[in-house]
Amino acid sequence: MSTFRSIEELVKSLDREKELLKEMFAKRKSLSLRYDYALEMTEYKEERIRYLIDYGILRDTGDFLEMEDIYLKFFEDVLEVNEEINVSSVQDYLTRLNENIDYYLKENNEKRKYNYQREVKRCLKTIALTTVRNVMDLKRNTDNTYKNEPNYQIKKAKLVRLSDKLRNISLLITKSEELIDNQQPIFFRVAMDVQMRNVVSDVKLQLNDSFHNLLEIHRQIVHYLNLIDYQNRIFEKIRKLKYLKDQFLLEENTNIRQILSQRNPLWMEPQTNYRIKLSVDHLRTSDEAFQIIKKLAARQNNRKNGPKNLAEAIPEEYLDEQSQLIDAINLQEVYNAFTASGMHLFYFVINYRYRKEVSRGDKLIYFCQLASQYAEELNFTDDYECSDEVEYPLIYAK
Amino acid sequence: MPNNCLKMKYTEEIFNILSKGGFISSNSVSTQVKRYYDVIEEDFSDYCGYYQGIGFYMEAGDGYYYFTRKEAKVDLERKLEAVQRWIDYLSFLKTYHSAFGPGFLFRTADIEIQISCDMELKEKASKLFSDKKKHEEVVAKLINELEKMGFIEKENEVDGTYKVLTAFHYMEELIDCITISEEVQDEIPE
Repeated sequence: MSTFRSIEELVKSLDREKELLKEMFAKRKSLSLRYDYALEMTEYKEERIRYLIDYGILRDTGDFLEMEDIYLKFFEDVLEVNEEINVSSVQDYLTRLNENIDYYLKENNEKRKYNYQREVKRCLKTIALTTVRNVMDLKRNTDNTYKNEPNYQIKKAKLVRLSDKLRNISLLITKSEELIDNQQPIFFRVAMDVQMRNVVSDVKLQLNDSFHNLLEIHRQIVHYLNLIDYQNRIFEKIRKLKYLKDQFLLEENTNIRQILSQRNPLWMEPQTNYRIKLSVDHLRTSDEAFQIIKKLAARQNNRKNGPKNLAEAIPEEYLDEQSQLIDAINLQEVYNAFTASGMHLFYFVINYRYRKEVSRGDKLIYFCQLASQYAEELNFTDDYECSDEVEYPLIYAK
Repeated sequence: MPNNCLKMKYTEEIFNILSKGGFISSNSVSTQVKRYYDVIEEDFSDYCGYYQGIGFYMEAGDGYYYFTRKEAKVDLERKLEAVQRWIDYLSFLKTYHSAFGPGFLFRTADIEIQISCDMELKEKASKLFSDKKKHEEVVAKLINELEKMGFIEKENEVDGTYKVLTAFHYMEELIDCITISEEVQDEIPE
């Protein structure tokens, strides 16, 4: 195995195989890349792949190629897409920080002292940066796990694990803050130049920010876990109810009847149609309604076969004016006169002065008609009289 | 009261949805329905009082509103039948995806594919409707039922993606209310 002798050499070789590396990085989560396919991407020059393997960029696993972990991690870290949240590195930096502070305090040579101080600044910055990155990764991973993990149990386990990681990160934040604030009072008093002050305040700010973010993520994780529990509970409940229903045991073994008798939501009712009558006033007065009626009428006329059972046209002669005069006695008038007279009805009808000649027979008919039409308002006595073979009751107005 | 009436908006539109047994969800795809939800949320008690006058009791759930009545208008048997039908639907939907609930996105084709490769789902699908046997028909009818109730809405016309609305909580909560007696709890197989 060979190693790169300079950054230039490394960058050059990476640049030459950028297509292949890009493809491999994109497929890092799925299967490793087939050797033939990789060959295609390096213009069928096997020596180029050999070179990459030789320099430890790729790993050969039979028919497949994989990117070495060290490069994979480098790319993931730089591109901020790493999924693994590493809290141990922060712990390492904390130890290093303490060591360097120790050396600084013991060193007498100014130049070397300065170097140690620079190292401390670097450590502080790295701690802050790593923490911020960890928090961001945690947030992304939490969302991803909840939304994309199909297996319920794994999803829950992953979220619980993320929650543990969260606790570790927040522990480290507290530790770092503790170190800066309390554990090394001498160093931070002695070595506090302007630059160091800026670094310390930046780091504190970032740590504080991260801590606040962690609280929010924690809330989110708890919410997701609750949601999963809720979904699971509902899922289980439905499974059980369905089982009981299929066994025809639902009503016996649950309180479903009681629950339903307490509730009357509308969706359980059959759909009602509200039959609302047309407003006649509206039809009469509104222009809009008139237009609609006209439209309807037109449609009615347009019907192909027209209305069924259509009668034939009425012959013209039927429509000619034909008038007929019927001379009749106004019985109401006779009655009015009778009520005013005070005589009995038969005598009055026979002796009434009609406008035309009226036969005795007609007069008898009028008598009968008047007696029956105005029976309500007449007083029928029990006395009868005779006149020319006609027997009649004596009727008076009431 | 007259002042409140003036303040209340969309009373007719809201009535039209709720009086048909529908729901108004906070995460509706339609901006109009969302607006209805917001105005009700703002003056819930006013709307309650308003519809109470004509015999409809507005109730609020977790992200949805619906109408109930004080007196039962249908007999218990009918209600039982309705809920049992929904137990079947929910059992099918949750078997399709355990996270099927408000905010869930799906396409009819997804369900159809799942039916053909999941034995349990296939069996449930065949028993869902007595008059529908073909998978596409079963899914179409189920989607229609869900849509009619206001539990889902089409989010994307082009690829036919549906979105599950918050009103779906209603069914889950109703199911959750039912208590299974202790004795049979253990008899139900895992």
